[in-house]
Amino acid sequence: MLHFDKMTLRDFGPYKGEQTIDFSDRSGVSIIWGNNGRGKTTLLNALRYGLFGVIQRRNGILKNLSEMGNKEAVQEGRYGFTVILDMTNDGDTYKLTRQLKLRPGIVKPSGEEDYEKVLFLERDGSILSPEDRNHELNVIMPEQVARFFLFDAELLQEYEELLETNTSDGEQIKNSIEKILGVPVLQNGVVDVEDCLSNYEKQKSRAARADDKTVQLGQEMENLTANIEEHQNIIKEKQAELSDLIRKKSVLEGRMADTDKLRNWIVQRNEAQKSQEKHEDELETVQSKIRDLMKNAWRGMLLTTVRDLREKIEAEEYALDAKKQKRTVADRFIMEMKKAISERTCPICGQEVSGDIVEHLRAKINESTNEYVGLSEEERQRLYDLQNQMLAIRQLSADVSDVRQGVAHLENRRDELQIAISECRQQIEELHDNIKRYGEDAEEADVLSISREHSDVEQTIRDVRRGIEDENKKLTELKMNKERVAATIDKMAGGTDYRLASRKYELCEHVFRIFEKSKTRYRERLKENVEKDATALFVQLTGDKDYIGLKINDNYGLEIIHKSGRTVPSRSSGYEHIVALSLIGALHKNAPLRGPIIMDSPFGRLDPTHKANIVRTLPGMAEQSMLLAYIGEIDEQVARFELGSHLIHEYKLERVSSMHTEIV
Amino acid sequence: MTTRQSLNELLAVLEEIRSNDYPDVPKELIEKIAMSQYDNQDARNKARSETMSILADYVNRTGGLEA
Ligand SMILES: Nc1ncnc2c1ncn2[C@@H]1O[C@H](COP(=O)(O)OP(=O)(O)OP(=O)(O)O)[C@@H](O)[C@H]1O
Ligand SMILES: [Mg+2]
Repeated sequence: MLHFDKMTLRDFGPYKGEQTIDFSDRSGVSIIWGNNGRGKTTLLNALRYGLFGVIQRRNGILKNLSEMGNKEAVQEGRYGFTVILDMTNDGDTYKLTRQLKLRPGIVKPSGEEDYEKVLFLERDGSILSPEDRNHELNVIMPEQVARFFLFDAELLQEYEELLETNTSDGEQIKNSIEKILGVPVLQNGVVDVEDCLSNYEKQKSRAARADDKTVQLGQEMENLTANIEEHQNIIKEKQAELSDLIRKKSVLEGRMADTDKLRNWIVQRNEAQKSQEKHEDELETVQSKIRDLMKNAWRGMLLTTVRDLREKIEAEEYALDAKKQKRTVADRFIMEMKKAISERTCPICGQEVSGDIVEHLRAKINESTNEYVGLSEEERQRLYDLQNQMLAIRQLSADVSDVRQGVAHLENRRDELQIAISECRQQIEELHDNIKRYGEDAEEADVLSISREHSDVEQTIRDVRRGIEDENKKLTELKMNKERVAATIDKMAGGTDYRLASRKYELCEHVFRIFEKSKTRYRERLKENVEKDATALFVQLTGDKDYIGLKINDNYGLEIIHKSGRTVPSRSSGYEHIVALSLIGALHKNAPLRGPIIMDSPFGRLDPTHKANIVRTLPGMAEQSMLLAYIGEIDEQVARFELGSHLIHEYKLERVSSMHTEIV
Repeated sequence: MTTRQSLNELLAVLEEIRSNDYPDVPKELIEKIAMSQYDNQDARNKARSETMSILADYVNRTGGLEA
């Protein structure tokens, strides 16, 4: 079991100069109090750096390690930093020293390349060789399982992924869980023993081929074996491809989450651009329609003028027409009268016309001829012109009336479109600003291609999975064939060589089956135990008595069981936290690999009851634990009371300056 | 809550299966392989070759399973 005795820091982040934090060799809990920005997360990182040589920042792993060197120390001419961890594991004493320091001959660094990394591991007083050192560190604390020992409480919600099926994050956590529980010991055993098995199998078929009775069967056996190996290799390749793809998918998912906002903005902007274009197209059409209508619309404008003109022409035409009419009537009357004078008989009543009447008629004829003179030559021409003008005017004013209405309608639409376009422009401009501000280093095209790439990768994953399935089917068939051939050879009972090879093979096969069956059974048992232990912890931690336990799924995801027997749907963030802690506690109980728990700000989301419950439960979760808390994150009195004799040490991270913290 | 020594748990599962289903395989052989796998989780090649030689040693010494 791994135990940290003490940690010494030199110029690491805000820990200026050399400072030591003594965890003591006793079991129990240490609390390190520090307000925001004093260096709690930095302490977690110091441990991480010591063990694995990496420093984790919110946005990923710190690339330029030298940034971690204390800034005030740099001003005083000291560059780089050191972390020394004193620890024990299963009776051995270790001193681990990790350092970033200037290369020999360099006084003032100009970049990362002027630094070198130094690593020493002493076991029981003697320095180990690099190979032994790396192996030893891997055994003490493999990096894949670090998440169960050093954790930032804010990341606890990642365990929720275990409740989803087939997410790559979930897959990764599941692998870490199986790793800490020791499943790979059996898994690797299965793989390696199977390799041995195929060696012995080859010996067997070689022996069969050497035997006269079974030459052919031996040959067939060898062919089948070669064939099987080929398919196994294909499967291996495909599996490697698959895990590459899954890794790629998870990277893409990370990037997708990072750029979600950015992607939304880009999508919105593209939509706005599209609708701007659509509006612009429509505006173009509307404007050209307006133009067309306006070509005739001058007629509309002239309508009143035309009406006036028409009235005038009509009046004049009427007068001339009337004059012409009167003349026609008068002509007929004169003709009748002239007839009466010459025949002396009235054309109407047939009576004789007397001399004085004839005289009277003559006077009348004279009068009429003068009065109704008819149209002069000019007037006749004028009437003709007027009639032509009227025709032209009538054509002109045909359909003129609705044009004006249509234009008004189109003009409204044009105004609407212009407003919409300017709104689009404004929106695009705002989005453009956002995009530029947020994604200065993110290539826009990249961001959009990520989701495309993601769905491509998903498709490829499906294809590869199907390919593996197909290969497995072929493999099963070949294996069955091989078994048949092997049984025939066995029946024909070859010579002593064959029998010897056969006995070796069988032993190996039994070993193989033992590992294979154990793997399955161990997994089942682990799940039962993890569920049982997580439930026991959960029941101690929960403040809700209706919650009676946890139920585990195949991914080691845990669901809360309500006393009605149903699972609790969409639990709260606080409960996500408590379930994750229960899982971690249960893993510590069931893991061959044991070590301390270091929690960074673990109480943020929890109410006082849950805080007190966690503190009380902590000493039972791990032999050694450290709480990094801001002052007031949990009541000091409550913490001391709940921990009682389990509380070993309390430290305070005190501010000297914003770049300098002292551990006191 | 009881604390379990979990490599023991792992070995116990192996032993359970061995003694029930394959008693002709010696217990020590299985344990040796398991321990080697445990110690070399970070070195797959070493784990494989150690497993092979553990098996080969036993098989060559005893001639495999009794017919
Ligand atoms: N190279 C450096 N030299 C000096 N100070 C540094 C250096 N790097 C980081 N710091 C300071 O150290 C502090 C690191 O804070 P850290 O994240 O460890 O605080 P914390 O206690 O976890 O705070 P919170 O409660 O807000 O999470 C910051 O105030 C930062 O300015
Ligand atoms: Mg912090």
